[in-house]
Amino acid sequence: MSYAIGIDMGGTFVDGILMDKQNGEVRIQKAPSTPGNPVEGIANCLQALAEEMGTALPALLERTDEIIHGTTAIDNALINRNLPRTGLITTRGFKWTVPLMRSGRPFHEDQQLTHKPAAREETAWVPAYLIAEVGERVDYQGTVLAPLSMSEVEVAVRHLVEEQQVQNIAVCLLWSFKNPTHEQAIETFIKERYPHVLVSISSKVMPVMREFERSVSTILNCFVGRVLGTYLDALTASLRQSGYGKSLYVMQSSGGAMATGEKCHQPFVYAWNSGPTGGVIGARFMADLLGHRHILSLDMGGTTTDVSLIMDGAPQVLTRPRVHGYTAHLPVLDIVSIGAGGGSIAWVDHGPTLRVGPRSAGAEPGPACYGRGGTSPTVTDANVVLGYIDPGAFLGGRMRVDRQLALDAIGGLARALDMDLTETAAGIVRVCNANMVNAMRTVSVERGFDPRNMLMMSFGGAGPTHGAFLMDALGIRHNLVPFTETAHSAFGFLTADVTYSFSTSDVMFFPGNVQRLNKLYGQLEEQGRQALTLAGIPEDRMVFNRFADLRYRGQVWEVSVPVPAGQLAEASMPAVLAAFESRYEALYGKGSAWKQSGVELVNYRVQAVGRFQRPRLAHRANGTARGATGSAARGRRSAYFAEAGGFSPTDIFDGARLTPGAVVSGPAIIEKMGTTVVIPPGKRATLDDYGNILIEREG
Amino acid sequence: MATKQLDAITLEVIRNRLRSICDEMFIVVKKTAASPIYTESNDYSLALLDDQGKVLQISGTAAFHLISAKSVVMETMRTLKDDPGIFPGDIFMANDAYAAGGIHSMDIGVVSPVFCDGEMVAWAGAVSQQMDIGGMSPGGFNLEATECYQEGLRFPPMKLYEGGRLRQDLWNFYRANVRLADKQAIDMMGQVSAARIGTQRLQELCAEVGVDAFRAACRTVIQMAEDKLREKIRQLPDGVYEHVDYEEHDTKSHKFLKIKCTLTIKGDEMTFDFTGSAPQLQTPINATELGMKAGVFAALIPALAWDSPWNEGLLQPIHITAPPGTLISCQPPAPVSMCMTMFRAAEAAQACLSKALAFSPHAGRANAAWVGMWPVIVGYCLDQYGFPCLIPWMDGGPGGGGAWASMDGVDNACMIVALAANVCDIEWSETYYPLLFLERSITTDSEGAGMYRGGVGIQVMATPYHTLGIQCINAQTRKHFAGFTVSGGFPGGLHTQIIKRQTDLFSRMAAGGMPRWVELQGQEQLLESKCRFMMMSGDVIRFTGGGGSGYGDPLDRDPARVATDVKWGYVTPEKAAAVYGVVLDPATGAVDAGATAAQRSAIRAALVGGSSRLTAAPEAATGNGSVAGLRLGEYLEVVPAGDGRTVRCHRCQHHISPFDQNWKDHVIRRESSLAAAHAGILEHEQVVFHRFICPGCGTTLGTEVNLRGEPYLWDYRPLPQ
Repeated sequence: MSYAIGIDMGGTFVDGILMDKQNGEVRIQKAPSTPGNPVEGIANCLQALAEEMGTALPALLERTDEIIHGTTAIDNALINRNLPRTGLITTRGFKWTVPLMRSGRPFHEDQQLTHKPAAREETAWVPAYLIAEVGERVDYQGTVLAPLSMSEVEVAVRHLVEEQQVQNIAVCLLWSFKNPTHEQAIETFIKERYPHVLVSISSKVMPVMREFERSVSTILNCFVGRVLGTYLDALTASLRQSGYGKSLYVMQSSGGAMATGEKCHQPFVYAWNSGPTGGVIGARFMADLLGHRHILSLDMGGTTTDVSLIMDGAPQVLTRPRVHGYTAHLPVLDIVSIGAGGGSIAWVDHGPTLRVGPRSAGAEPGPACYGRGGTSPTVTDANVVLGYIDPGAFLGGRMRVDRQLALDAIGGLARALDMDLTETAAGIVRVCNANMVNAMRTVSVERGFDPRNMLMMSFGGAGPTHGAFLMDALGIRHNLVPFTETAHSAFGFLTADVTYSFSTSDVMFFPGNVQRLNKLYGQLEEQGRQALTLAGIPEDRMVFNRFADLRYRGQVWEVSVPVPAGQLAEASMPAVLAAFESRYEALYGKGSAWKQSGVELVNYRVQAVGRFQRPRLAHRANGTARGATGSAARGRRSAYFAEAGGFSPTDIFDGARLTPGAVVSGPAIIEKMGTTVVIPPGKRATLDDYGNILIEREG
Repeated sequence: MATKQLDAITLEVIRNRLRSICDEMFIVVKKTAASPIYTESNDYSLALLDDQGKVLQISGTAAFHLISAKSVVMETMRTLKDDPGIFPGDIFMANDAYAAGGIHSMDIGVVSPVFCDGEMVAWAGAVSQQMDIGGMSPGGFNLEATECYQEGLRFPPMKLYEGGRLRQDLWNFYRANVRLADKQAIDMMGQVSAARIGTQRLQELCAEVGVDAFRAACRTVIQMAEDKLREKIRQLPDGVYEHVDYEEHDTKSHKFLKIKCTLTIKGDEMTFDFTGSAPQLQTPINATELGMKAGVFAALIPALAWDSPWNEGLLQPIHITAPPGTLISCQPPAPVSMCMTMFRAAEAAQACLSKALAFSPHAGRANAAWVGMWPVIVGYCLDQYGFPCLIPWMDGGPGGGGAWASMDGVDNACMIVALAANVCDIEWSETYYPLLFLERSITTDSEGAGMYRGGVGIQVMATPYHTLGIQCINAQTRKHFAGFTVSGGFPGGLHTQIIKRQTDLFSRMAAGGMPRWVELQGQEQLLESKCRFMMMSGDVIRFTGGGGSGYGDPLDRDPARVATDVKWGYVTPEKAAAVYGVVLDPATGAVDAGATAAQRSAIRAALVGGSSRLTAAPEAATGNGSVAGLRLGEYLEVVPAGDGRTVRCHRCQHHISPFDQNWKDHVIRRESSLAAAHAGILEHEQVVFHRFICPGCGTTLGTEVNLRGEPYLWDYRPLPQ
């Protein structure tokens, strides 16, 4: 018997999912987040999994091969501007590189012209007075023109650390990816003189051309390193204590996993926003299983809702993403995130108008109904008042929810708005839903994709409660609540591979020199093999995918194409050219190339993939009666549906007792362990073989 | 034909699809091109148009091309529709600044008709500046030209592709006449690809929703934009607004050349009239009427249509006129390659609009002048790899944005007509050009001061590297005459370009450290605004770029903001004290409140001619804006008085003048050189900085940069009854 565990740390809950690697059965548990000491919430969640398996935690962890983790901690720190004080050292003459942000401001329809975030005190990651210049210069060939002035380094570092009290220093010098010696000397100096300061040098973090993005990635690496590094160290220690001896993995923003601590090959920055990726790759996995290609995923948690699009089975990946207004060089999944979740606080704005979010009650104190001292009315409180959430059945009855506290909180707001209680609660939900529809519109309609042809997938603690209400606004016909519901993101982690990327540049006129290519790819694959080995992946589970970036001579941007594995021969190259030409035409139109200028090979990349052993997902409840709802019926209660003119009697079902094939017509509510699936009048829900609930329009 | 009612989702899908098609075309050009104009600087744009040549959607950053792409399509249809005809697979190119193209012959438009079921339904195209267009001057700026025939190739619309096939004869002709044939072939193919992708996507869209729904949606989105704009114009006070600006170098010598704009707003229409502008010259600084209109729209659209799609609807309520034969409505064969007067026309129009906005419910959108010029240097040389190389050197671009009534101007923005234009990363530039950069930073103190300040400009220092030398053309202005201000803000800084010859740069570097400008030894040479010059190894050039203009009296700026500006290095402590009246503790940088109040009182008293002449403190201002009547910007208001109306200070209620006279003739006037706003700039004896001071409270009610002896601008007059 062996297990894999996925742990998703959200703002409100820790979700844990355990998969039996032999039979594909999964177990889900959750525990409240503990922002003060995040490790505690994770330990509680693991404990709950152990209890469900009827074993002690050390015994469970001993049989666990891998734990894969994701968190939104970094992004929350960026949003709340709760950032460790960080300085930047750069080449003399160029301290304004980051604040300048290459100057251009987008200004196009519906966009307000605003300041560049890096140029203003309120929004800068590193304000100008924390950027220091040192004398040195390397040219485009990597030749040193001016040696590094160590006396200036000393002055700069002392100023940043002793006077400005920075905790981190990012170093990004011109051309350091060609010649890293100056950056390395600064790193050595800081490590020796001020060991408590975390130093990141750009030639290690992101050795690519373009100093602006390289600087941003390096600064971001400091933030992630300081925030996530500290936290992962604590988590690793705690897991060790509980008996876990294998590797801890953390998700990367691009959807792959990476090892942590000593076993970590990638710079921290790759894990900038690990939390939301699980939902997307989990959605892809599930949709693939069910034969869907276009998916609109909606992950609604306690503080935020993440929306993402999968077209033709592929999540959208950005390589130069905007990170809170900064362009970084970093591969990430294209996810639109809005501040709307179960914990979002409803408030009265001038007007008066009812607003919901972006402020959230978070995990502590949480919604008013949690009884932890919160008094602000939240979306969850509204859901309790409207009868969607049963105070007695929340979290499978393990968490106490107080309806009266919800009524009190909403009541205050109702008085301020001079509306009745039900109107106010229904208004909160309506405003919240409209915000989410807008986010879904952003990734679909606004990018020219018609959502009516897509499978919507709603998950997260609050997604299944709200999802069915969003379908009509966008004409969506199918909405799937995956059986993994609240732990879907954690489930996604279990579907990830350890993925590292290695690349190098060497411009050659096509077809290039095959010996040199073989040597380059050989070296890159060897790097990949070492990194995967370090990450605990056995040789037989490693896969190396090769790519080359080609362009027509004179062009600046390249097109990436696959390159065959194994020893390359001259005969292998025409296929590479054909792949380039066909990809180029697919991207930019037939006959669009100026072929006379010839083709260049520019960059070579090896994607090193370590595949975890994963079984087929188990069908649920084999052998039991299909389509049974009877034993699942929990009677009726009154719930609010505008379609039905107000509160109306609503059938309640126990999600755990519904069997595959069961059909439930709205208005109905299916109570699951971590969430409540609301089926409004006019919709019906069907349970499939895995336990997923498909919500469709009736008739 | 009755408009078919579209359901809201279909309309929204089509509207957004148009935008996303344009965005995709934008990426196609960026990713397939060779020139940094496309790949880095984003100085190109894409357009989708309907079958009548009405613009459906533009993308990109140079809003110029709303007009440019339209002109290419219109002229193609006018001249070629019957013979040889327009068919599927055809692609047309044109670069005639007089009729079909951009602002000068380097701008080439490439457009493709879109057919669906054999019926023409739309056009898709791209307009961008090519690196070279032949003629006697590399890069196209021909300082000596006296006729447009000396400015390289000029194509009226021609078929570049016929039925999907490249016309090899025309293509060979084009390539034989330009300097960088291979690179430009790649760039041109980028534009072709974009036109083709746009065509393909529009065909897919029509197939998906049906041609009728497509046409109906197009009509609706255009109407929506027009309705929104008319609604906004109705909110601006009817009246006549004026502004005068000057071009200051005609490529042969320095001289001030007037560009005058008069804006009349009546109901929901506005007319910009350039009567009174200087006549055209036999030098390339002229602009065609087409180029001028493109520039004027580019300045107006961001200011007026921030919340609506940019399409044909915006062209309906705005009229732009100029008598033929002025600098900005030149007639053939006037040369136009340096067309900088277009920027002056755009700025004069923006100045008029800002005055109108300042007097409206959209006062928060009133915007002072952005940096008035993108000072480009075009270099021509052998690059470090031994190939011929053209350098469209654009690092001087990020000048300051103009301040708003509610917000500082954007630091290191760009020109208002090219908002998202980027500078290249240094590493990128040094890879592709034989240059070594020594500095790229802000220009401290270049902001136009104000209650809200303008953004600061950029400062760049560089030297030729791994090349024998670079032959350069300087294309600049705004060395002496500054941009317009709003409500007493100060004008933004100005540009200068200096070369130090034969410096000891490399030996200093090798000896350790990176020398600063002041440390470099070498003979200094100040560059003319427009000139040819050579840069040899060891020569170091530095350009210091101006900022945006300010809004409101600098003495009204929140001292805490001034302290932050000083902390960041945007403003020096000296300027903080002299211009903003803010005194900071030298040790901590914190505001010394007592000293600041005293300093501000002293400055106000000095402006009115002694403290005894101040009759009211600015603190006595009511500030509630409760007076019924017209508010003229931050400090002035029009109130009923007797039979007529009078202008008074909103702060201290001091009565200034009858409404039918120019209030500026009735206040305290202080006249100085621009050095009062910017220490260290190049002063010119003809350029005067006027400050108009409230006799009651000493507030700077307005400022103006003008030529000596010219009458004060009469910013606003009501329409004759």
